[in-house]
Amino acid sequence: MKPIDLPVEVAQPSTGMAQAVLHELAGHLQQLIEAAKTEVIDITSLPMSSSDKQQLETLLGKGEVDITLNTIGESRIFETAYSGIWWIRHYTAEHKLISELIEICAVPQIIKTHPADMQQALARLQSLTNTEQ
Amino acid sequence: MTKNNNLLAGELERLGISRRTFLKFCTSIGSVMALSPAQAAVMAEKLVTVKRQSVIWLSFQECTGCTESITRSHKPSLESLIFDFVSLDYHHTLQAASGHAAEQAREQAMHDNKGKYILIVDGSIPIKDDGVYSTIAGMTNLDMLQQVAKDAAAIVAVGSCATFGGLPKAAPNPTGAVSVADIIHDKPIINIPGCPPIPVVMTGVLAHVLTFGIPELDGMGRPKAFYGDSIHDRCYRRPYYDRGQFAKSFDDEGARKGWCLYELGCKGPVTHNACATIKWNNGTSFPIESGHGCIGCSEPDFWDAGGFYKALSTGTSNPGQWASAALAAGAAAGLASAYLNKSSKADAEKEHQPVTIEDMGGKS
Repeated sequence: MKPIDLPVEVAQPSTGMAQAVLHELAGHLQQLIEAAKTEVIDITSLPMSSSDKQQLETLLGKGEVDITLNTIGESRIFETAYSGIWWIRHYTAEHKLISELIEICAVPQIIKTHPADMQQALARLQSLTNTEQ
Repeated sequence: MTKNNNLLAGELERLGISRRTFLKFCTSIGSVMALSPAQAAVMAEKLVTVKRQSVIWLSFQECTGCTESITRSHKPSLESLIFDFVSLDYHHTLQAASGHAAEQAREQAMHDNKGKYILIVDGSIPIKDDGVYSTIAGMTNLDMLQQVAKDAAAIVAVGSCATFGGLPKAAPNPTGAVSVADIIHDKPIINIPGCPPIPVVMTGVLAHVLTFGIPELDGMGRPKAFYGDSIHDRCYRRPYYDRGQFAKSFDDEGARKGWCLYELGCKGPVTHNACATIKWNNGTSFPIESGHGCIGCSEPDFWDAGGFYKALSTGTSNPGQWASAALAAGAAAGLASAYLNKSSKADAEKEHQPVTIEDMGGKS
């Protein structure tokens, strides 16, 4: 059921949090380069207003990679204009945002295929070739 | 893969949930639990190897709001997945069995999983007059709690009633309501207060118990991951507090601009919970986002804390002392207008002025 759309808007001016996150990102990216240390910033739990988030996203921009995960509920992952800094949004099946992260890494962990999924894929593939014989 | 039947891995396979999806859920639960991303991945790996856990849920003096909260988490979510995966052997609201069959299911689960089952309790326990004020199948809540707790591996007290006594304990506490921890002293007890608690907090704690064991608890037995920060710490309106921009009434300019609700009685600064980050109704919002201050429902005795619309600075810890202390200190801002309540309300009607929060506070 959709909530009733009331024409009420609570203004959420920017608070300067975006700038603070930028400093943190620079530190983490340096760590990634020097020590191959990956890091994740959880945007969901930071006290940021919606305009803060908007501002941060505008500042970081879009890079070359844009990925959609068709898991239960979509996930949108894109590399920002700053290589090694990825913006990740996980949604539920009802397209509710459940977590929003910035991952500082070469490839976000969730992209990689899990061995258990590969194992299952192999079993399915084998049963497919068996039935075809 | 029949060997996985009794494991969460088997359940995932059966439901066709990929490990990638599962990792995604664990990431979101991990982030709300303040686990590092590495730990969230470890949790995902560990959870799939966990055996079906026997859970006995006892409901005492409660309103079923806690059960509503946990069962209303929309599917498919990790909350529902974990909740579906555990073997809920007794829950008198949800189970199909009734009467003797229901009680037998409880006794059977206690016998079969002796020393291993998790006991979840919601609701307070009345101890006045030998506990006669609440009974199930002719047994007092007090007796049932003691009997079931004896062989439990751990106890999870959900909701403010089970953790602190909650509303049944509100003055004058006619039934002598107490919390689980007031009665049981020899078992690990995890307190998950809230009226009700956030669904993911309940299942997150279960997930933690299943993978890493008892989570790190604070002095009140609450998991630090969820109750480590105050609402105020994580509130998106916090920057307004820091700048001294406060709404003075529920319809003034400050309220419309979304300023801090501290002066309207918000208990965010003294309330430890995760509402500001996890939010409610599938992450839609939390009370402050709807323009109302936090009422502090996850703190002990919140009901008797002196009024939801009294600003914290005027003192809310003891309603009896509140008036005299405030008077003595000359903190008349809220109080004077409370005395003026009647006239200001009448004036407001006359002049169509908005009734301020002081008016409401004065009324109580």
